[in-house]
Amino acid sequence: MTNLINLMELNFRKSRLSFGVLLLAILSSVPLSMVLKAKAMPLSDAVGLALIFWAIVGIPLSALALSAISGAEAASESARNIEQVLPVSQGKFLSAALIVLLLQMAGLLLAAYATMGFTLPTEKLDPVAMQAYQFYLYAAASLTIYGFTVSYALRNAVAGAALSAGAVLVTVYTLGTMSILENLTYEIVSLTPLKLAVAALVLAGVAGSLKLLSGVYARRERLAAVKLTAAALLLASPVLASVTGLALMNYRARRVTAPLSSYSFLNFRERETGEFMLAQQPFTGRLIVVDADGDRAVIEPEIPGGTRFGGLFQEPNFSEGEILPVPGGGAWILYSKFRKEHKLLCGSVKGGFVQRAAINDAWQVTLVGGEKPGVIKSLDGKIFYATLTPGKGELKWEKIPAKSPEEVQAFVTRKEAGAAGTARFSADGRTLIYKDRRWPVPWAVGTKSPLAGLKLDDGLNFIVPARSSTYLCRPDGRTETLWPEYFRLGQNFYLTPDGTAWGTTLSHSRITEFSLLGRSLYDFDEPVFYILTREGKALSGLQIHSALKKAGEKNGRAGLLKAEGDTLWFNVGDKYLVRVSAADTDDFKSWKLPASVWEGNHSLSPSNVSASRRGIFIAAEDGVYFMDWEGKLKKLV
Amino acid sequence: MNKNILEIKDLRKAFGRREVLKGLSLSCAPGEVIGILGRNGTGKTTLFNILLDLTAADSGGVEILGLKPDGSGKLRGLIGYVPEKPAFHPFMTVREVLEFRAAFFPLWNMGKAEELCRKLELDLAAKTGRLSKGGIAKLAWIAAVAHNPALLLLDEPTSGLDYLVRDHILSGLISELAEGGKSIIVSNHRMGEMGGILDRVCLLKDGVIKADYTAEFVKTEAFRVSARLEGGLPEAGPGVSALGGSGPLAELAVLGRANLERLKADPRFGQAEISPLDLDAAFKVMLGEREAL
Repeated sequence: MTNLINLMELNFRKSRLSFGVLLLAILSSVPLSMVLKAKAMPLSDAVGLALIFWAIVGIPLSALALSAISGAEAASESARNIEQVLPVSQGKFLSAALIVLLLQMAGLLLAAYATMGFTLPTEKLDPVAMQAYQFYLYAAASLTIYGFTVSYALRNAVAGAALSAGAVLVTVYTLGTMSILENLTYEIVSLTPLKLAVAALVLAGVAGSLKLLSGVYARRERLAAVKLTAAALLLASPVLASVTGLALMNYRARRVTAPLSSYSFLNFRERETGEFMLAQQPFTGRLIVVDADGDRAVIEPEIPGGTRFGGLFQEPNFSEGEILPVPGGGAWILYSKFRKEHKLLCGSVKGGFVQRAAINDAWQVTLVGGEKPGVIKSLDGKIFYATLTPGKGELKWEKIPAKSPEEVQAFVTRKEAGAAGTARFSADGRTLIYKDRRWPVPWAVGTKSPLAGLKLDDGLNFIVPARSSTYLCRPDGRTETLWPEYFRLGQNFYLTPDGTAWGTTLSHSRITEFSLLGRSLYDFDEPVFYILTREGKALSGLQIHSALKKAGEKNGRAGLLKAEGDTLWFNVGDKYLVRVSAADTDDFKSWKLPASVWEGNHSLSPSNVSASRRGIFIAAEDGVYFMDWEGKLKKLV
Repeated sequence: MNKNILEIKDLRKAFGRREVLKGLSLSCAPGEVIGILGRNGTGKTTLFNILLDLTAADSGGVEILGLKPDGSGKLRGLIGYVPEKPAFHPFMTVREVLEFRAAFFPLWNMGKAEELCRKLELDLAAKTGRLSKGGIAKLAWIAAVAHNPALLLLDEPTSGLDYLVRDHILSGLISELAEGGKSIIVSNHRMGEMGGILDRVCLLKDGVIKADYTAEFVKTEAFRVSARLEGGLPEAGPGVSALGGSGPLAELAVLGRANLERLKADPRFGQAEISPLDLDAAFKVMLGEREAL
């Protein structure tokens, strides 16, 4: 240890001139910028300019200069003649030089920090800028140790500085591009392990190559060519790892599938997608419709070439849209590719889809179901509706007399309810009226929009939310209290493809977990299910704690997919298909779903799972899958 | 337990395709002073660097006081080394150099170092960057001996020094060390000036120790033979080299009394004048710098 300290002192003395000059330059830059500024320039701008120079250019260049000089000096013949006669290993010499270098860099950073008044701008940075800031620190540290090592390897400060700057730039640019992309879209390659691996490779590469190089240079060991090649590979390994990561990311990105998010401005409903999945490959631009048998229709082909993010990565382009099944196996598709014009298509998976119309004049367009499907658009604050008819010719738009969102909702509800019809409320909101039938409601309802009926085995029922409870108006005229929670169909109450109605509330708790690393606390949101089966059986306050625990789902992401008698199927966190018995939810069976990409931007990405009567579609990281209710999985795309 | 302070066995080292040491073996007893004689490029410095653990041998064994070269540098703690071209950090004073080195050698004797500086008239406050070549050489000597090493390696220790400094070092320092029981291995082109203290002279040639002479042999069995020869030089024989001469007058160097007796048996050398060969000439003959007959 004493020897190391003595060698460090020696290295400080050797590099004191270059270090002193840089330190002085940093410390004097603020006062100098104030003195030398142009007259018209405000004082704060001049100081800001000086700080920006050090932040962007000065510190990295200083790291490069100090490290390159130190590395080349360590490999010089004079160092060999003067220092190597001491009874100290070459490793200790190099360690001392590297430690001094890092301390000097820390000193320069501290000086720069001092010129900023000991404040860091990190509080003002958004997540992307914060990542850039972390990359900057990584680059500064890498430049320091890489500059030293490569200059030592080449025995030349200029060549070493140039080569190490190139290597660090390639690594940082590659990882930075991937990181930004991950923040904006998906986690396609797990970047945290990659970043840690690159950092570890930098350290291991530097340590390993210095050992090999010092053996060849200082001790003139045999097999010099082999050792120099190995050292070069070790030094190149972080660059190779980051470039390989990028190549892997590009390869995987092309296989990523995602459902299309709906751009419906009618946010009060859940669209039934029938026996299809409308999926996209954001990194190729391809749009497809696929059914459970694996038949598919390409809606939009792959974009040849495409644009590259930062020159390195295929940019993702997200489409929005929806599919509306119609009897007989056909469907209507409305989509907007990359937020450009809307296209309306009709057809079937087997027969193909053809464009029915293009809708260019409105951003807000959505399909409306029911016996006669239609399309609705919002234009200049007015709402227009057109019935969907096959064939050619313009759509016949008619303005609908709806001025408020509630009135639009009422219009759509009536359209979608079709022949089954909708019920309305009396003026005082305490009576539900459907044709000639009336149900008293215990409390006056707040929203008097028409209420769509729910077909159960005993006929047309109505679910009525009033105050903080939900009531069920039976076909026989009875009104029952369903649950002491507020649920409104289409708002926070949904229908599975088989017609089961369900909603959830969240139970929040804080869990203590013990592990080898100690005790940790985490927030646990558990969904509490309220279900009304087609048989008319109401399940209240159902929890699937064991299944959630197995899936590691802590954010309450679980939804009902199907109910059959006492058996329920859930999608838990897009990770597991879970089948439980309502009588005993600990009695469950689960099937792992194919991995989906983690969404960097949740607003763009709905659940990757879409239910149909026969099973579920999964838009996974490598294609579209279908899993039936017994957990049998097949890849469709 | 090995009694020798240094043991080298079958040492080999190549730089690329050029094999410098080709199975060199050598041993050195405690207190022994060995001169390594060899022409430029025969591997003397390589041998020293291997002994100092500055260069890794390709194969073979080296052991100094039970330690083997392993890259740790520990061996250099046992050795006092005077390189052919000593160098120091020019920004350090003589005192700083000595104090800096003191931290690395547990047996460093600062008092002794300062005393040697006074004795060799070296200013402790002088910056090494301003020292003369002689001053640098003196400092190298002091740095080599101040930690009381068991073995001294001297690589051309008087190279480039003027007469006074050389005399200072030779008559003072080396003799004192040799008399003090230190083992010394020295390589010197002017081995003659070391003659008084050498116990053995080893001839390094073609990567191996070709010949190993005792000092006694060099002093008592190296002869200069001058004779008037009619009909040219005699048949070639071992240990006999031509030193020069003109016309019928021939001057020969003969190594070994047996060779001399064999030469004397030749009637043409009946009237030859025989005298001891001076050390420098003897070493030149050993090096092969004189034409062998």
